[in-house]
Amino acid sequence: MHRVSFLIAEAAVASRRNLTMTFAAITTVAVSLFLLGGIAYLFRVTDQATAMVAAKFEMRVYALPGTTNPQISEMAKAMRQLDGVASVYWIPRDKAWAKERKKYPPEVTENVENPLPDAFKVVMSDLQKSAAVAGKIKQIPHVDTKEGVQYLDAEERFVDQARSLLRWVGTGIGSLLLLVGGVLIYNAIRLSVFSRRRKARIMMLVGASRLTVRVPYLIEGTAQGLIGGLGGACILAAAHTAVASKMLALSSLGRPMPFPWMEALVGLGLVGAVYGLVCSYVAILLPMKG
Amino acid sequence: MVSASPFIEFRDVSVAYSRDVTGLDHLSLQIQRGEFTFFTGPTGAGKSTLLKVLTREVHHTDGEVRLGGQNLNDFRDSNVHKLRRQMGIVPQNYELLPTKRVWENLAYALRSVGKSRKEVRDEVPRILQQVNIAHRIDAYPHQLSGGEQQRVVIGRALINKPPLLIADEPTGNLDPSQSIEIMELLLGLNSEGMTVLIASHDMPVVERFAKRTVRLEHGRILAEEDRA
Repeated sequence: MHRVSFLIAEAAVASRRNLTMTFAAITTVAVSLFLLGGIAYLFRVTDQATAMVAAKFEMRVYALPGTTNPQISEMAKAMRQLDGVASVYWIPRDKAWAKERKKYPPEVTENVENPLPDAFKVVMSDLQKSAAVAGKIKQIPHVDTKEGVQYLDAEERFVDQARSLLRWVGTGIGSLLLLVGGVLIYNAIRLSVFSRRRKARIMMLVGASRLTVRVPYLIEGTAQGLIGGLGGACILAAAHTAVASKMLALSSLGRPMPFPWMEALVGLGLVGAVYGLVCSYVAILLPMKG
Repeated sequence: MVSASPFIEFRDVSVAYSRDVTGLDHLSLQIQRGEFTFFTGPTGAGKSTLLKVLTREVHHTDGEVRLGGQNLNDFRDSNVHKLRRQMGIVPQNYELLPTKRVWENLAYALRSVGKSRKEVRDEVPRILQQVNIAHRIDAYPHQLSGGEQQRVVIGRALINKPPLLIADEPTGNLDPSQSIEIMELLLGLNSEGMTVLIASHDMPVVERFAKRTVRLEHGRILAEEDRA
């Protein structure tokens, strides 16, 4: 225990000595982890949101003319078994035509033969599977393969592309900042090594173990990463609170999700700590060789 | 008569810093336990290199070095601290921490080798007493004379109670009277059974304290004299 307290005290002394560099490293790691954590969080939120709105997206599936009732039952059964499908409703052609006729004056539809085929309303549970589901439905017997499956393909593709763009831009900027944070931690530790080289030499001369000489620097780097990670989680929480209050003001957007404090603190703190440890280890490799 | 195995043995040891620069050149030497030995010679003769081979600050490129029967090559880099705890090292420049008081300098060294606060409280006064600097316990290094600073450094070298003391130019920065004080301190430690190795080009001191003297030049032993 007394050894641990000595090592921690040494790391604290080193951090205080290079306060500016330590501050720069911590804030950069905090901002970069905020960005990366924010993107991960945003993805989670949009995943849940798209799952919620998926119910509002539905497909129309048309059967070929002349499909019999038992065949329609088989088609419905096959569609319900598909992954990503929440429910399937049969819309008989007569019912659909009766509904359609109500939209027009009676003289317009009088003596007009029902042009509508038997159809299904397919409600999706997972929007991202729409294209796959559509492809599989087209393979079901008695489905009109030409124009028999209709859904909001373009809208879904837009949402998907927007998410993809967000992922790449956010990950790119976040990674770049994380790299800068790593370089700053590396520099802070290098400065520590050089400013404390006399202490390190004394330790080596009196027979301190290699671990005792090196661990304070590793603690310093890990602490910088950890504090940066926790800082990132706090900025993320602040951003969430700001967005959540806007959402509450606009009731049409629904209630915001509660912020996952535990996951953010543990996740970003852990990532920051491991990153700080790795950067500080790299920083001491060369100057402390031997 | 069969002589006891030497405490320190260099067998045909060479140190090559580069293709053209040699620290030691096929040097062989034996030192018995409890001996007091001076290594003299001009700058670049190999005095410091010889001591640094023993402390493993420099790796020998050829030959074999044994300390207390143990081959130094058996110590991996990660275990060198175990070797260094068997010796006290007095470096050429004092290497004291300028912002720490005398007792803190010793306490820092003791803490770094894993001693508890209680052990530090017990050990520091004892060591300072041993090197006659207890009266300056609260002074900062810059408030001490060269001789006093050297006493603190020697005290720091004694924290592991080693059987061997290695000093590189311990009187190099001292005036003659302080040099004699330090040498008397080292002789005192030697009289208690400690093996003492000193690299020095301070010939008046070497002449005054007639002990075994090994003269080096170009990494080789040029002459050896035992006046003990």
